Amino acid sequence: MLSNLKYKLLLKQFKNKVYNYSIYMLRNRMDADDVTQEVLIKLWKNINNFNINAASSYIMKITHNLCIDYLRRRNILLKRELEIDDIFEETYTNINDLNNPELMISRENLSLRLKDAIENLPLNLKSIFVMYQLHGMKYKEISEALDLPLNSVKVYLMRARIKLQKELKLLKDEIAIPN
Amino acid sequence: MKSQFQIDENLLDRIISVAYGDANFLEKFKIYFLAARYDKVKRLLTEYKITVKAIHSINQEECPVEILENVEANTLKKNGQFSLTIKFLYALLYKPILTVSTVLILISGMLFFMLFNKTNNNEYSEAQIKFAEKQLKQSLVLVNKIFYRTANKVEYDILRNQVAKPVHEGISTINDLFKGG
Repeated sequence: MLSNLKYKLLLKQFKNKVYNYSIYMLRNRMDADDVTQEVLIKLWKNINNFNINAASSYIMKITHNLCIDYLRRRNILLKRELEIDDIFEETYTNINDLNNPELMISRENLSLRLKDAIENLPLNLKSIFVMYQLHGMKYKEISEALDLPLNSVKVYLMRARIKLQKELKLLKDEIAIPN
Repeated sequence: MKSQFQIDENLLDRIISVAYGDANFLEKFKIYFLAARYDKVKRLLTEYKITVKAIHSINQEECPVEILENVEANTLKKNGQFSLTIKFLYALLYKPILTVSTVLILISGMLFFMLFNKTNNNEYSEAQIKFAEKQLKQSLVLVNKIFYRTANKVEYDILRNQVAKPVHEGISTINDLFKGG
């Protein structure tokens, strides 16, 4: 009975965090849906195997690892498909359309541009940035979730902030040129 | 002088920390002081602050309902343990009105119980009170008697017969010995 209540509480607290983190990491809603579902089911299976105080680190660790698995699988699939048939190239490179300046310029909303800029960050910087800035996790929790030393978390976070600023500046300049 | 001012990596980190709200008061003061003096610092701080504001304005997306339904079907409902008690406890934690009303009911219940018990304890009849007084008097008389007897025993039996008499005899003996000597 208690584990049910514990699960329900965790579900309410973390469902959106898991979903949003997956979207940022995978940049694909369908994959994010799958990862979220898998994480929440895994959480239920292991509900009695972790400390509730460390729930945040535990859940984000599962989410991060699953996202990495999905990205690896996707990369493998992408390589195979490209080897088989060059026609598929266009379809799969659409994943990187977000890097296309023309598409980016058309988006006037700063929030949207910012989301894209975050999504374009390198994986190791993005994960820490999303956990710290968007999910409000502490350095220690992130360090536990990603198996990284505390100082590395701080350094990566700073790098992510600088990189994000540069990306936004680039976007701003690209928008300013046509005007 | 102002144009020669260079922002090194360390200063950049500090500016970013201040913009993101991670820095302490002293650090904030230092950076704001530099920003007031140097345009470069001010511009950088403003740019980062705009970004931070935009980051804070990003709304989290809601997890789709279908996922939650799927998850619940595979976890809680599958096990058939999602009872009314759980629902009530869960609602108790997340619905303030229910929490407040439950607490109020509990407090009023406790108060009623305490008051009810108190009136019960004070309900004694006249006869019971008189009987208790009588018993109290009897017990006091008994105690008085015991004290009286004890005082008599100490004064007459112990002090006079057991202490004074032997002492007196001892002194008489010594006196006789002196007379004889």
